[in-house]
Amino acid sequence: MTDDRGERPDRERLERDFFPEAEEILDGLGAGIRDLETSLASGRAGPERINALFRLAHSLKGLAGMAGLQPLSDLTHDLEDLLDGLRLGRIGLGPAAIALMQEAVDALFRMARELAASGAASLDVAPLRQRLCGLEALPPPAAAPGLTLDPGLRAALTEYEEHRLLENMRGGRSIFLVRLSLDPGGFDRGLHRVLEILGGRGEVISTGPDAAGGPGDGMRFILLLASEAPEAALAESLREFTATIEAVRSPEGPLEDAAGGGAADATVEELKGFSTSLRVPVARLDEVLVQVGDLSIALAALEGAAARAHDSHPGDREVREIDRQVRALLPRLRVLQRSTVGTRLAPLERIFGRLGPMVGRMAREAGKEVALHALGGETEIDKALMDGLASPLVQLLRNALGHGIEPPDERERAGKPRRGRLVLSAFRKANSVVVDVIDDGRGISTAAVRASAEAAGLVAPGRALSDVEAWEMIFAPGFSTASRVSQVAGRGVGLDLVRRSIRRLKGAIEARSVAGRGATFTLTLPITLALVQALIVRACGQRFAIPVASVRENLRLEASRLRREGRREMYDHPLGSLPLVRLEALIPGAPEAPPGGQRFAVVAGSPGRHVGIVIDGFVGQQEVVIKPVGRRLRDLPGLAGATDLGDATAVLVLDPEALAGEEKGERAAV
Amino acid sequence: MSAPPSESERRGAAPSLERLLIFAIGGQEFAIPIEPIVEIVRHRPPTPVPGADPSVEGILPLRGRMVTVIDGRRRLGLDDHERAGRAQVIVMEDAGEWVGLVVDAVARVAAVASAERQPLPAALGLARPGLYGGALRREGGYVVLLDLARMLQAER
Repeated sequence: MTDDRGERPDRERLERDFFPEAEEILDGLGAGIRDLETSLASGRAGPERINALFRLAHSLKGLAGMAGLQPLSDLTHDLEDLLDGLRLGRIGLGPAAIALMQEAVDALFRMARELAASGAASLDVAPLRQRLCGLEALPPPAAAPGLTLDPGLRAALTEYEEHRLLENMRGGRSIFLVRLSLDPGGFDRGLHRVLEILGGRGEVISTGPDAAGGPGDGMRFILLLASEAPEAALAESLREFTATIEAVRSPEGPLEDAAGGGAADATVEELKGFSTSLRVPVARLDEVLVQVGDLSIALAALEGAAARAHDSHPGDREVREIDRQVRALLPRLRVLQRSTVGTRLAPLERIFGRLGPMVGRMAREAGKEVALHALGGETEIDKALMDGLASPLVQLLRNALGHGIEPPDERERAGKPRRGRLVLSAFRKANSVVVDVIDDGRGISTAAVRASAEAAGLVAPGRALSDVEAWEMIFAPGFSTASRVSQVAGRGVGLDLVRRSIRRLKGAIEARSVAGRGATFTLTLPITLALVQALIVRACGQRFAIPVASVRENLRLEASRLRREGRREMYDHPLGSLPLVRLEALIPGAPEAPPGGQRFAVVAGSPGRHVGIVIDGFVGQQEVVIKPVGRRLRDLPGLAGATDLGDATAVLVLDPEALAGEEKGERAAV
Repeated sequence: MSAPPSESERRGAAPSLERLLIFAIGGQEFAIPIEPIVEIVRHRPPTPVPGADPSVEGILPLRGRMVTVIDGRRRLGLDDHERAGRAQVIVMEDAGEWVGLVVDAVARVAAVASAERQPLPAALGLARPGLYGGALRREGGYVVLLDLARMLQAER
């Protein structure tokens, strides 16, 4: 995909972003209007029904507007206006209004279906729109006989509240004034409770602070309540509060006959849907995943039992058959698990598409000329990760535009095309998604990075910096705060935050550059956090899981290559010195490693920041469902979550990226 | 210390009564509302988590989720002595997550009227007074009401 997608039909986009939700809303509107019709016939057309319809219409208007569907948005706007008039009592609710609303919803359905089928809506809705706007307004509300409400209080009612007051009086309900005094310490909870109690016995028309003195000496509120319940019962329901209740109008029969009331028994034609996808809350998918995971754990336990039975009765044919059947179930369950995870995935196109227009705007603001090319938008990633990826990507693009891409004239002088080039490229690599953010701007100048790092106190004066070190330095927390200097260096604004957000997604980010030619930021993220391939290892008497994606190699440690550097333990790896992490140090009371025992290390982390995690041995490799450990534990460094391997014991999943970060942090502190 | 059930405990839950779960930690009876309780399971050693609060014993998988297990003794500042073999974990839902409280033994469910609540007697000599919401007088002693929200809060 490129940003100049004039040729590309927006059909797909509509199918994804508009149709499913629009269909849901239109269904809701249709059902709501039918509901309103029946309730009107039985004389109980509650305000909450009209309010719900109003909100639905409002959402649909916004949705259609965002999708650029002007005719649909206009018609919805008129429907919304009509509903607003109804809820405020400006327009009478009767068969005429209901028929018109039904007609409008029907027209919206037809427009949407036409769009879905042919990509264009030809339906002329101008006459309908005229009729929608032409519904006769009701005369303004007349006096309310029998109401002894303080005129000042009545004047403070909103138009909607006034309408509800009259509407309730028409319905023959009594109106009560409730004065309330609540303990200032917990008044919101108290008020909530009172509203709940009274809401169950009638309609709370308005709630406000009580300027005139009420009972008690706490926070004072005044409530207007319409109810059919007797005053004594209401008083009884509030006995735990300091409250007074006063009837300001008794039911003397309905005020006047409500407008209309004919039960038009219109048979509303059931419409076939126009969307082929279904919107499902992610939480529901998570729940399914939890259940599938739970099932696989139960099955693993069953498998163990079957294997033991097989061992103790090696000759038994029945036992052998059970063992075989149970084992055949496991791969099928894996497939189920994987397809469940698959339902959480969505194409990166969703954010790439939104970044295009944003880059255009940012470029204009920065006085730059830029073309954005997005490749690999079809690459799928977990919805949760995608949501977390949006803001780091925006920051990287903003940096590239602000500090990477030169102004057009400067580019010309450097022999580059005036128009800068920004490339967003995504592809799948094993169990990861790699996103490259590439620009052809100034690149990262090692000399400039060195200078600003020295100014920020990150580098000793006079110490030389390699290119690789410079590309790493721009992510250092102290570096980006020296923004004036780092802008000269070309990069570095907020990059520490970008790295932190990426790390929170269990991903990694690195930079590369050719000075004068441009820079590339490479983001590597797991496809999903829900299910990952993990190495299961044994250390300090328990098992740990390490995501395979971040493992570089497994080492057998040779005692002669171990050495100490201050508090740190280093290993002379043929490819360079490697800091070691001992899990015993992290877990208080863990048994010390058996002396002289064979020890291994898993080398993990991203390039340039590897650590060796010292372990006692390997257990195996398998796909694990990573579960969150809860907010009391989730921010602990080095911990990605926990998993259950099938024996009802939690196994901690390590986050080597963060462990490596810890290691670095310690080095700075030493 | 097991008090005979009071009149209201025997009658069960009338609408105005609050249902509480009563359990013992270190020889003292405590109570929490039963609403947030998901399940009560036998205690088994959870997996320790590096860097966690001292009162967090670790995590335990239960029905596809991870339960953060909080040691009731340590949380209440009681003696950290040997736990009885029949310790139980009261698993509760707290803001969408599952948290388990390790107790020595679950005693019973009681229905309690709000009028029965009284201030915490100083004579009980409990550490960390901020964790309690009062007490109930029972034959043979007091049942201390735990302030669950505070109880489940992280210590740091």
